[in-house]
Amino acid sequence: MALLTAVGLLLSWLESWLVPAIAIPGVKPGLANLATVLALFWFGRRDALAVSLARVLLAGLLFGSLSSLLYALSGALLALAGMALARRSDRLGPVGISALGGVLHNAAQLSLAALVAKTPGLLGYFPILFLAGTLTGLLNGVLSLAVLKRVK
Amino acid sequence: MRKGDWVFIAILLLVGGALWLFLRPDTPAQTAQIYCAGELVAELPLGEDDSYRWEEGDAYVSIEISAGGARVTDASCPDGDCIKRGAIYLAGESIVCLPNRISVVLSGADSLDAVVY
Repeated sequence: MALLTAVGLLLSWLESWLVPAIAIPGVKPGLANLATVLALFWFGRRDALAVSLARVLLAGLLFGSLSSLLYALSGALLALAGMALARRSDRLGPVGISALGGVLHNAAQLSLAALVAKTPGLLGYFPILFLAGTLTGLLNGVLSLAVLKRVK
Repeated sequence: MRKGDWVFIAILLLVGGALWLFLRPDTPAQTAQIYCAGELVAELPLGEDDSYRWEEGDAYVSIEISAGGARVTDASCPDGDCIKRGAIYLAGESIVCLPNRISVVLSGADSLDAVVY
């Protein structure tokens, strides 16, 4: 569990180096969600929540600011809620669940920004964030599936 | 990969693709509206070169209108995403500096404005 949190944290850190290379602002690979998805499948949703919270809080304190922490938290919580529900119904595997997490994460962040920051024009970013969330979630999902198959 | 995965991902990609196709801006804009914390503070025609600077204490955002487009040339935010966005030219496009709560929203003559909060 601690190992998963550490992995999540490491992925967050790696991402903060990778992000400047990506042209579109606000689009992050969201690699750290990999740790949450693995926790969800290996240990269940309570532990996934613990891993997710720990990772977001630590990453926010170490690499980010208070506002980035709040946004990340909202994204992580909504994503986990959706993923846990999907896990319960058991119709989706790690790939689908991860894609769902990606979309929800971005949707939550965009909604929070629109509500809190009161900056018009944000909704225009929704299509690209929706697609980005899907694709990064897909990537995470494929990676999760690979890990889950190899490690029991 | 379960069947549900394939179906779900196909749906996500279709919805995402549709959103992107139908909502993306495609007409050149005529005015740039500058909002500060949700309030309209300036409306600049894109036809003339102009500049606008917002300052509050140590925070600042510098906006430049040139060549029919708008861009943020300098800002005090930590990530500088608004600067990295580059120049925008089409109605419906926007540049947002979230930490400073500044938005630059472009609108055209007959297009619907973006939703304003």
